Parts: sequence; C-alpha cells; structure tokens
Amino acid sequence: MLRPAAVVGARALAGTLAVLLVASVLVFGLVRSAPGDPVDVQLGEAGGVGLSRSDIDRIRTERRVELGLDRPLPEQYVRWLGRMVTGDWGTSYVSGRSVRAEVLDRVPASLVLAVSGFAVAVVLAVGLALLASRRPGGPTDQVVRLATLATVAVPSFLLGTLALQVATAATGYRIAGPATAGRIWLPALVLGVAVTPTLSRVLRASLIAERGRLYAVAAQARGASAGRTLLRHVLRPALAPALTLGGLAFASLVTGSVITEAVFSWPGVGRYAVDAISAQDYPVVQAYVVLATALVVLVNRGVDLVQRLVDPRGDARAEAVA
Amino acid sequence: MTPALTVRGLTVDYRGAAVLDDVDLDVAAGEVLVVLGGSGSGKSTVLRAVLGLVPAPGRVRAARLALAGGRGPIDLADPRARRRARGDRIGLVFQDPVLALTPLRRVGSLVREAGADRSGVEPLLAASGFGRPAAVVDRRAFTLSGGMAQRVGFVLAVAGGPDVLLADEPTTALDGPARVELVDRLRERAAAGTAVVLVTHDVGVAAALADRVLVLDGGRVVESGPTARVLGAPAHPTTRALVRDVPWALPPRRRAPAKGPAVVRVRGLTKAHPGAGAVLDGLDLDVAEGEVVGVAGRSGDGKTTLLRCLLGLERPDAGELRLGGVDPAAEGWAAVRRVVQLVPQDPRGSLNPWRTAAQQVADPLDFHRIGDRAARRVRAMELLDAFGLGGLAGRRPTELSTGQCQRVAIARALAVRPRVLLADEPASALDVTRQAELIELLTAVVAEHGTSALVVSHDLHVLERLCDRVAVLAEGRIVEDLPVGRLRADAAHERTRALLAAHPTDPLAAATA
Repeated sequence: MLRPAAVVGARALAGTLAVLLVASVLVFGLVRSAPGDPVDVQLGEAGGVGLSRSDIDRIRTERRVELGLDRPLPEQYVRWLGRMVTGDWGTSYVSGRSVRAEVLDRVPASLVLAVSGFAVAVVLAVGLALLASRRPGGPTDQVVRLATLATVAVPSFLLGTLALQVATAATGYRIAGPATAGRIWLPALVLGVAVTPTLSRVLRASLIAERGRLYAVAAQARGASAGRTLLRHVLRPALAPALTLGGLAFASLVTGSVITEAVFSWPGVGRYAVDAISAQDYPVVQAYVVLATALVVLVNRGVDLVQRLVDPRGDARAEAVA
Repeated sequence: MTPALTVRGLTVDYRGAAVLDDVDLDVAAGEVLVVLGGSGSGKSTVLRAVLGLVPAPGRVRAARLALAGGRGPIDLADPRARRRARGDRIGLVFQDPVLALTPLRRVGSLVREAGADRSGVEPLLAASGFGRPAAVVDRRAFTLSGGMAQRVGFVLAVAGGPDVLLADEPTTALDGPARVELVDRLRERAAAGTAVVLVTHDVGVAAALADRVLVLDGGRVVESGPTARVLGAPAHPTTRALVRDVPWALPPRRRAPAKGPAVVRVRGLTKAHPGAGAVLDGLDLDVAEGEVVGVAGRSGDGKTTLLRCLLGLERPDAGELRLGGVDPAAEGWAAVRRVVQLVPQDPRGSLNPWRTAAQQVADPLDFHRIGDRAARRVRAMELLDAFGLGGLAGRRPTELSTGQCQRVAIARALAVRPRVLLADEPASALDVTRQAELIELLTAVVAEHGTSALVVSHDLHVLERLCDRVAVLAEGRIVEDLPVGRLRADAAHERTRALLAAHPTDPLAAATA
C-alpha cells in the first residue's frame, strides 16, 4: 500500500533524530577519550609565569570543578546534551566567549562558500560529462579524462595557492577582508574544481551506460540527434549515482573546507574547528561536530528528496518490494 | 511500381565476422514484406543497417540503400540524409515495448517529439487502441503496462507519418490478443500506403500479414517470394525447418487424465499490489501427481504473481498453499524448494556467469546438503550426460549456446529430484526451432522423472503441446479449467475464447490455402 506522506515524513523525522542522538553519544565519547586534558592545555601558558606545583594543582582542581569535569561521564553527557538542545552551547575554554555566538558567526560564510563551490562543481561536472560521453574514447573524452585526473592529483592547497597567485597577478584579487561577494568567486572556483572530477567521472560512466539502453537507441531511431538523445532522454535517468555522490560532496563542503578556508583566509567554521581541536576546546569541538552531523544528515535527507523528484522509479520499486 | 525502400548488396560485419552477406531487398508502398529467420540469422541487423544504428564495431557496406516516395528520394548511405529520414520517413517498432520507452518522460511529450503536433497526440493514441487517450498523455512511460507500452511504441513509430515502417520482432513479447491487435495496426498502415518490413521468427505472424516473405539464414537470403509459395511449399531446408517446428504443427499431447493425489494445492490465493489492486483474487488450483498443467492468460493477468507466490518470492495476502506435500507456512520455504524447482524464462540470465555448467547443476544439491561432495559431483555429471552436455561440464554460460543454457537450467532444476517443476514462459524467448526442442525436452523430462509440472504461458499453442490440462487465469481467478483435448471444443468463458481466437488451430492454413 502507498503510505500517506505524513507517515513517511514522521518516519524520516524519527530516523533523523535517532541518528543525531547516536551521533551525539559518539561525539561526546570521542572528544573525551582524546589524549590530553583541557585544563592542562589552558594552564600550559600560565605555568610559565612561575606558580608553584601546589598552586597549579589547586587551580587545576578548582578549574575542573568549575567546568564540571569532576562529575561522572554519563552525568556530564546528559547535562551537555540538555544544554545543547536548549541552545546553551557553553563558553569556549580558550576565548571565554559563547560558543554559539562564535559558531553561528562563522556558519553563514561556510554555507555561502559551500553553495557557490557546489554550484560551480555541478555546472562543470554536468558539462564535462556531457561533452565526454558524446564520443567515449574520442579526443574530447581523452582530454577531459586527463584534465580531471590531473585535478584530482593536485593537492587542494597547491591548487588554491596557484589560483590565488594567478588571480592576484591578473585581476588584482585581494585576499584580505570579510566574506564578501567580491572575493568569494575564487575560493568557490577552487572548491568547485576540486569536487568536479569525481562527479563528472561518475556521471559520464552512467550516461554512457544509459545511452546503450534500448530506449536511447529508440530515440535515435525516431530521429533524435546524439545531443538531444543525451539531454532529453538519457541525462535524467543517469543522474541517480551522481546525485548520491553530489550529496556527500556537498555535505563535506558545508561542514567546512579547512584548507581552502586557510588559503583564502575565509572566516568559515572549518578553520575554527581545527583551531579548537588543537586547543582541546571541548565545548567548541563538541558543538561543531554535532552541528556538522546534523548538517550532513539534513543534506542527505534533502538529497533523498531531490532523488525522488528526479527519478520517481525508485519509489515504485521500493513500494513493490515492501 | 518503384519500391519505397531498396537495399542492394547489404553486408555487415563485426571485426571481419559477417552478420549479413550481400542481402537484397525491396518493398513497395502498401506492401508488407516479412523477413523470416531464426536466432542469429541477422534479421534484426537488416533493420538497424537501414537506419544506420548498427552498434560500434559493426561495419556496414551496401551497393545501394535508398528511399523513394512522395517526399522525394533519399540516399540512406549519406549519414546526414539518413538521420533526417529517421522517424520522419522511416519508423521503427521495437521488440520490447517497455524497454524502448524513455522511462521518465511523459507519453504526450514523447509523441510530440516523434513528430506529432499538440492537437495530433490524442487522435494518434486513440487510433492505436487507447479508449481514453487523455488519461495516458500525462503518464510517465515507466508507469505503463506492457500492453500500453506496446501501443505507445507503435504511435511513436508512426507519428512522423513515415513512408516505410520497420518492425523488429514486434510480436515476440506480446500475448495472443495483443499480437492480433498489432497485426491489425500494421495491416491498416499498409492499406494506407505505407511500406512495411516486419522481421520475425513467428511463421504465424508472417502468414497473417505478409505479401512477400524473405527467409534469412546465417546472414544470407536463402529463399524469397510470395507468402503462399514460400510458406506453403518451402524449397529451402531452413524454411522447411521453420514451418515444420511451429508449435501447432508438433504432435499434440494426449494422455489419460491423471487421477493421482494433488501435489500442488492452492486455495483462495489472494494478492494485491500497491496501486494495481487485487492481482490474484481467491485463486484455486490443483496439480495431480504426474500431471502437467498449463496456466494461460494475458500479460498483466497475474500469471507471474501466481508463480512468484508459489516460489515464495512474494508473500500472498491470503490463501493456503501445499506444494509437493509441504506446507510452506508450517515447514518453511527451504523445505518446499527441496521438492519444487523452477524452469526459468531466460535460461542464460538465470545462470551465474562465473560458474561452470557442472557447478551450476550441483548448486541446489550443495544448498540442500544432499549427499557428500563427491556424490553431488557424480549426480551433476550424470544429469549433464543425460542432457547431452557431457563434454561441456567445465564450460561457463558465455561459452554455451542458448539451447545448451536451457538444458543446463533444466538439469539444475532436476538435480534435487523434485516432485514439481514450475515453468515460467519457458518457450516465449526462443525461436520456433528452439521452442520445438524445449517442448520435446520438457515432455521427456516429465515422463522419465515422474514429476508434475505447472507451466505458465501466454502461448496457447505451446501449452496445448506440453500440458494435460489448461487453466485460464483472468481477473485473478481460474475462469476455465479443461483437459487439453476438450479445450477448443468446450471452452465456455469469453477470455478463453479470446485466447483461442488469437491462437487458431493452424495459422498457416489461411495464408497458404
């Protein structure tokens, strides 16, 4: 029987919540089991001032009580989860500012960069895949294949640095400043180019496979040109694998592209998170990872939805099996 | 009269291996030419070569490939002219209508793309047999049933108003009444002045439709001429074999009705599919010990669902099953499969491409842990020997012919010494000569091994030759159940009569008289 949309929606929501809960336990456990102690890290610099050993021990104990680190782990977890849900993400051990404010300051910049980078990747990947699959093994296909392989082989910091050099010389591109529209195009381009090869390779393979099917031959027998066959018949059924992969790529872009953000000094969450990890800034790390998990789960749900819109056959098949 | 399509010296080879060798062919406007041949005769390649759609390594040469007609001559050897001719001057009807439609496109959009203008879509669909064309226009192709897809496929082939209509085995995937419908459509087209070239192995369709017949074997034309002459008095051995092997010409199966206990007992079987409503609706069916029962019916009438329920691949909504003395609900499907085995529709597709013939035959023995390893090997070799495959035990499916794959699949089904064989359209994917072999083989197997069999098919001719009794499935129930000898005389239900009308006693008689 076809289930009503409300039931499907409720199940999806329950599933999402369950995934998030499990993820929060894992995140909490993972961060706490990492070697090192945040209090030690914080006291590392103060220790140089010349405090006596007993002073350090006293300060450490006070600080641990203050941060709630003396409590049993399950209690710490529940208190932390409750605060996360109510929007109190704690204060950074390092800066002393509200984690929520710090993270939310940086999320928009990351989101904008991810969306633009992904848009670049989609345009490039679809275009290259269509070009390459017109004649598999032909000269265009070979050139595209080499170019995508070369791009995969170049580390992204090198790609970013190179692009920055060229852009600075050619257009007077300025790296300094806030996240503005005037300077997003370069990091977006670099991110997009880095994601393009896998997407275009997968789409090319799937286009070629679909084009070998009888319906594509039938379209040509009715007079459709090679280009029309690709665009109007083959492209849509061929999108499914690329959509799945694209969703994963988009999720990883959203959660921050550390290297690109560093190269272009882009004020996103990626760099912020890496700094927090080296400083053992638990509240920041935990908030970041939970937020990232939530984003990944949400993006995946979104991709599922897009998938259903683009290719409703999957629904019919799943229902028939169930 | 100038021919609408002229082919001279058509030769196609794949890396030196000739598929077509010096084929000549003419069709006049309003004429139906049937190209007859078995699997591998190269008959489908003729159509692909005319359209310039021979796949990659294939090389096409021809002294002349040309269209004539009211809209001027076209040289099909010129790729650009040929591309413009596709759809517009030449239409093609495909063998598998479902696979030949772009799954995610809407019917109306496909028909418009094929050359109809907006107002022409619904009349074309109506002319092709849709009672309410408006209901189909907005449906996506993947939601169509096989019968609907076939009608849409035909509309797409004729939407551009072609001078020449090509049809590639268009009836093979169709049940009897759908086949009659398509033959009518093609006849209407020819009457309206279209030149029709139909490629098939179905002598019955050839007899019903052809003005002239051309017989291909091994890529060469071995015989051609008026239908009555070629099919009535075939001169070449290939043609004689095609005419001799038609299922209705094979000796009928006449045996005393079986009186043994039921080995298959189905009561009140009910199954609904999402969106499709009840497919099986309280179906009752018995197969007695040693009996061969055919279940006939049209596509979409639930034959496949019945078989899937009997194999445990689908869970029925209601009903009782007892198969080979085993109740699957109480004893589990593994116990059923120990005594019930499947003869598949597509033997090659049912074999694991990585395993040898001997391994495939021993697989069910391994699964059910019957005997020790050595005994299983011996049993597999015995079966392969009995089926004339003794020297091929180490071969994999790609190294076997389709007929050999068929025998491996049947040997595999017999490995566990089943009490019941279930056969799913066992003959419909085969050309007539393979069909005749299969009927002989299955008849011998059932007699020798004393198994019962339930054969599901839309081909009444095959069921008549294979079965003791034929049951007709319609609207989810058995509406007719008669011994095969009384079927033609005593059939009372309209669905049975429709099937019988689509399978006349001798389809050749009318054409060759």
